[in-house]
Amino acid sequence: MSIKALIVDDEENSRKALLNMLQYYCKDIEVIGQAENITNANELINEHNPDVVFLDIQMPGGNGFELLKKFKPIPFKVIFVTAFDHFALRAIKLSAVDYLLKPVSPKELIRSVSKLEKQMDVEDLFDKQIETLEDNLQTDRQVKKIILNTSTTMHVIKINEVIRCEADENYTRVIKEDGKAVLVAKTLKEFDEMLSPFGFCRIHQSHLINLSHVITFEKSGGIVILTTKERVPVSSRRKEFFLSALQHHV
Amino acid sequence: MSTSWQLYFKMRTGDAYGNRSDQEARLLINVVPAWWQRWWFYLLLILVIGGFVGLIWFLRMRDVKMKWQNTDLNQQLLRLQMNPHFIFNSLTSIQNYIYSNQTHLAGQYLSDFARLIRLILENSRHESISLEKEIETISLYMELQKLRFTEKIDFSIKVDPAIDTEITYVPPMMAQPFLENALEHGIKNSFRDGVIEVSYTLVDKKIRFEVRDNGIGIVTSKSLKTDDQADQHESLSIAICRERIQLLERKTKTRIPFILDEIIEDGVVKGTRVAFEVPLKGSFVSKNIKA
Repeated sequence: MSIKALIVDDEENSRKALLNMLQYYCKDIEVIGQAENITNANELINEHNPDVVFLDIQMPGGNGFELLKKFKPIPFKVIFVTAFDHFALRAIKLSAVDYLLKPVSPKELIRSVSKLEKQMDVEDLFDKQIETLEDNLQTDRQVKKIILNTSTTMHVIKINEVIRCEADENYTRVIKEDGKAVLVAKTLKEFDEMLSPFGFCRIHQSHLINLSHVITFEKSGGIVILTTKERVPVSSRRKEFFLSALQHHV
Repeated sequence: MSTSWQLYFKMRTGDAYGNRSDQEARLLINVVPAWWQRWWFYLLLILVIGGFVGLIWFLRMRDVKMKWQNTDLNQQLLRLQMNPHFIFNSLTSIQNYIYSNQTHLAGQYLSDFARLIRLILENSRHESISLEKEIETISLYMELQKLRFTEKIDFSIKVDPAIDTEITYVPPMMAQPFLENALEHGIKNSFRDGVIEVSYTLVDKKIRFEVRDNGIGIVTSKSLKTDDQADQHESLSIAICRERIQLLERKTKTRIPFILDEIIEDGVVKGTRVAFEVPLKGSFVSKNIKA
């Protein structure tokens, strides 16, 4: 089965590079067109109905997110391709939408495409993800949300409702305010990277906690007590780091 | 510290048989300390030494502050020049040549890219560099940018023949933020082919530096702006340039007017122009910033 793809990027060399790589590494992908701005992209999408759009974020005359606003529901999947965009990337990670960094690594391209292939026939909630992404891209003040995908369900959770995360081999158990846990196929390190800008702190090899939910720190035993009365160990190596993070947080 | 005091001698004479004279001889000596032993002298000494130490300290601090400001600016400048967007998109262009089997082009651009990065790193360690080197740097920079924009830009540098580029020193990479703006915001949004012109002219012991483009103009470009980050980067780069000019003003004790406006002919916007004059003085001998 071939997957129809559209490449949207304002720089010709970037489009060509991706086209060449897709032809070389991903035989299942058929590139049906290339667009250099969102107006062009819009036309090509209506004409060819691509299954996936490789979408650059920074483009003159309207960025990638603005293209997505034109569709409701969005009839294709999106893989963002960007050279560098700190804030957008942070939001993209939270919303669990796939992305590639330029110059694209062949390994990651192959991984993204095979992930895409698996999702092709699954009816997913892509619109929900994009909606969350757009929410998160709004001003910094409001409460950010994170998307947690399990094999069966997609959870959209406010970040301040996450109490802590616990490593479970290559999975991570995310414990919410209501005491329920969600098991996600991502490492704790990935969660650390996603959530540390929002007041989370890795206090142990296998524990990441939300600093806003800390009630007490028992210095003698090196134990943190959270609002849920849970007791979480702080490793001795990370104690200093935790205390300074806590100080800056308050 | 000494104060005045008195010595009072009383003397009587006597003989071997125990007779003493009735009268005493008296001698009063007023001991007055020398002027350098007086309290006011000590006070003065303390004040003078204190003042002197204070002055040295003040001058040093001013120097350190200037240096610190300079290093700080240099660091910020380096970060701007190392614009990740430029770097990663250039690398992507090179990647394209590799995957499309244009090995010779890929090789050429890769070494140009390396040369540019080397120049930028090197220049960032100097307060001023020869105009020759500056021109080489921005030429390379524009070559690589052209590669990204697939060559619809006509770029030229004009140098006043009166300037000896080898011995004329200028602050490094003053042009770069404006070239970047001209490209990203002036030309990218414009439908006509880009023309960017940099010129260096000698105007009574100053180098007049100018960048002109034929883009959509700074006002239109600002109104089109959708991407916050690109916007931030741009205003930051101009802010840093202004700050560098201010620092230069303080150092050279001259005013450096800064012009940033649209070129308007017959009521139509023809592009954007940036211009300022950098004084050529003693402080423009290349100085290493101590790392």
